[in-house]
Amino acid sequence: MLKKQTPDVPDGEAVSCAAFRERMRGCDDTVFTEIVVNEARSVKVTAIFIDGMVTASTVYDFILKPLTRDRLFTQARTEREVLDGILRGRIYHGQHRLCETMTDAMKELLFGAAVLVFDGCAAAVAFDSKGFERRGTSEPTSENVLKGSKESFVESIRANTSLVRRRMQSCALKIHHLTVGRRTNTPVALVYMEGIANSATVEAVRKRFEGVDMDGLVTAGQVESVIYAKSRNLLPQALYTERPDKFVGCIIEGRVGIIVDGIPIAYITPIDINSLMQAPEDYAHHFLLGSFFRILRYTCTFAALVLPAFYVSVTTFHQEMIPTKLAVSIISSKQHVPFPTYMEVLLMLLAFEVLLEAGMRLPRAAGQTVSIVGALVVGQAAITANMLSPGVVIVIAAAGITGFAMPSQDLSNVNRIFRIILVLLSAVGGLFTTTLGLILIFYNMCNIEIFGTPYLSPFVGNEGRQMLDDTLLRHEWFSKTERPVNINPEDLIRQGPGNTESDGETR
Amino acid sequence: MKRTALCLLLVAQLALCSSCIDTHNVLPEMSEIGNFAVIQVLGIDKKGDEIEVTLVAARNGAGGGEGSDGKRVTEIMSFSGATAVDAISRINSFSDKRQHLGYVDFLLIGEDAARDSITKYLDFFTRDHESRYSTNVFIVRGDTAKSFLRETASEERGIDEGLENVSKSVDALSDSRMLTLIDLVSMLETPYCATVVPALSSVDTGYGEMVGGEMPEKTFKPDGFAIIKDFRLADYFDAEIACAYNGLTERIHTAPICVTDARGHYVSLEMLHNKLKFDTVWEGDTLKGVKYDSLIYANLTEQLNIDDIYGRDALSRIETAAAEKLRAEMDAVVKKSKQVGQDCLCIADLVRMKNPVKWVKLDMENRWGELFPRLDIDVAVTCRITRTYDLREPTGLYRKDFQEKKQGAEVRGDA
Repeated sequence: MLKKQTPDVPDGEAVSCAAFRERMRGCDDTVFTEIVVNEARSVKVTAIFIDGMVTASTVYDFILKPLTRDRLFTQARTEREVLDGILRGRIYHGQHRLCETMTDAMKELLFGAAVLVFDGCAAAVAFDSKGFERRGTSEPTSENVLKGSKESFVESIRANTSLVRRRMQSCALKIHHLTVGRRTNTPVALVYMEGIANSATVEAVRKRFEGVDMDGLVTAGQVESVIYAKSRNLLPQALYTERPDKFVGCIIEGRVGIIVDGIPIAYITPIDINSLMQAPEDYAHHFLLGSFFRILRYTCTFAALVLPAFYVSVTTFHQEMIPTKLAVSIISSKQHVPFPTYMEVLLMLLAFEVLLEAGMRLPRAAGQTVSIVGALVVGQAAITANMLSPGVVIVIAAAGITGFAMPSQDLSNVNRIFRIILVLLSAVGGLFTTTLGLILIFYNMCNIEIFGTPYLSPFVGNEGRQMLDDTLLRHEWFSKTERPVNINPEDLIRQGPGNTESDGETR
Repeated sequence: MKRTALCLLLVAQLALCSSCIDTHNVLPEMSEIGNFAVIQVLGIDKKGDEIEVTLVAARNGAGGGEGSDGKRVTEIMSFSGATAVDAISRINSFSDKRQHLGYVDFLLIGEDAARDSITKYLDFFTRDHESRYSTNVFIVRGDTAKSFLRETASEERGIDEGLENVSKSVDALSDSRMLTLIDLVSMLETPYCATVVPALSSVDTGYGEMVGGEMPEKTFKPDGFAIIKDFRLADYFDAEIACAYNGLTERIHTAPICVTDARGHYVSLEMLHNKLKFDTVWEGDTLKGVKYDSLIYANLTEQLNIDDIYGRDALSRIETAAAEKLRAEMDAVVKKSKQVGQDCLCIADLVRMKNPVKWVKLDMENRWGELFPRLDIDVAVTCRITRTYDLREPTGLYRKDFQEKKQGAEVRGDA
């Protein structure tokens, strides 16, 4: 496995300074410092580290200085004595590790360690002295927070695991490290609760990552392609978040978290469709409010998906379904419009997508201007010039706004693609072909299973168990006694049935 | 793969077995809504040997574009043909839009057509896939539907709005009812009960003026009910007894009634609830008669004098007067029904539900035609005043000076 990940280092190659120089040839950011420990006996070691990846003061003060000052080292007769002294703890440093192969040593060096190479012993000691620049924890940008933690994940894996660990002070929280990517050697952390998360699922996720043979793991899309059960399927099959509180909530439920170095979001698996419809804010409000928002969200999702297709269907094929006054109004608004309704809807949907894309790419201030100009000025002008009917603009605007009610941006994006497909289908056969499209989308969802969890569970499977638990409705905290059964946790019981207050009365 | 193939097969079955396909098109035919004329009111008349169809289409001014006025335009088109389909096809041939019958809310049948044969003129509308069974049906009393529609429509007031107002006022006045096409068909299919269809008639618009617009030549009002016998218009229940007809068929929602108090002043009551009890009188296996016992709850809504009419005796007198008035109207309904020889109250259904075994045993369904004219129909009405709204006594009742003056005037015999 390691051979796959560091192909430029032959397996089992002995550690030597020359080997390091050979490997790091052309890497001008690598510092080689030869230190004479005992001049009389010509005992020398070479300190190697990558500039910018280590804290220089730590390397100088706590590693190099003792080597030249401590009598044990200055009187050492061989490099072996120096090495033994270090391994016995004569250098005050929290974390050091003996590397006897070049593979190990290179890995440590590239991960931000300072390596002391003992040519005479064909060994090296790696001192953890990571000290690279990183972005500070800030407020989440893609998941707005009203009532909750304002912290978000950053690009550093260690900072991210610390954010998780700080919220879960339990030894059952396991953080298992993997290295993925032939060239990038990207550190990946699998996070799960031992005794809660299904061990088979954890093993499956670990194997999935260990089996990866790609150059690097640097983008979110690459991570998703590893996690997804059906990577060609458009539907999101993993949950991502930049909020540690949401991540921890999922871990406690028994899911497995994945944190990748360099990506400021964390992934959660296995998930179901319901996970994509939940927002952390649901749990910050009263459970009735949370339930209301959930129902609203499901309704909006469905509306965003079918509204344009429904409009095309009823105005082109099933006119008798429209109430009379509305029909009169629609007909009058379409009097001078040259395009058929489906064409109007498609044009508007495409214009909407273009606006979104342009708004995303431009600087924030300019993006807002584009949205306003596009939506208000161009929209109004198109209606006035009889290029579009007002009904279509209203329908597309309603579909667009309801589409953004989804907490999962991935699902929202997929929804946008599906609704264009449904509009095309509705132009062919009205509600008949629209329903056909919906059946196919549903069929597609039925086909997905993520690490043993059906995508549509808990609405399907489990014989209806937990069908309404924390799905359409958010139940009161104290009634949530079980973890989601569809992810098959090892400990199903989440909490007791009630909470005893000081007066002894059970709620 | 197997599951996908099965799924596609099932979906294909939906298309192929839906019976909505013809030999040329598997999928429904596309037609833009902008190409339709929304027909809201449809009139049918007899024109010689042909059927004349009058369509009333509502249009708004162009809504979005430059120069849109948003003004509502009512378009009335008439054409006759050998059949209703023929007539409508001819309208389609000269109109710039296709006439869509899926929005017809009101179907008006001219009196001549109703006297000819109601089923003949309705057949197309009950058969056509576009027409709605929820369409409300009216008979135009004393006029043709075409003339009625032309006279009562104007630019400012669409006929459809007026007819909608009738449907809304039915609950408040109980002087008519809304009869849907499906109910009408159901009534026509029932052999032992008469078909009773609400009627409309046009009246001169002498009641008001329209500022800044043109008042239609005529307006219209509910005008009793048409009685259909053997699929032909036989007679009418006049508007004066329309409420009583509704009372006997348990369709009173609210209705006003005026009576006089002991001193001859008008008092207005509002009927709120009509509790109707029905019973049969048998002599052995012979049905001698039926009894209606109607208990009406009413509010006292207005009095035109400043008298204390809230004593038990005074109220009883008013209640009795209201009950008598209603009973007289109900008797008139029964009399008319017997006169026409049709069970307009659908008493047969009530008898059947009350005595289902005898109904079958005595073959009453087939004998109802001969039984009904001989039937004694007894109607009893009781009225109960339950409320007087915000005030119980009229304003000024406790002003002694006024009451003394009034008494003095009465003693002197002043008006």
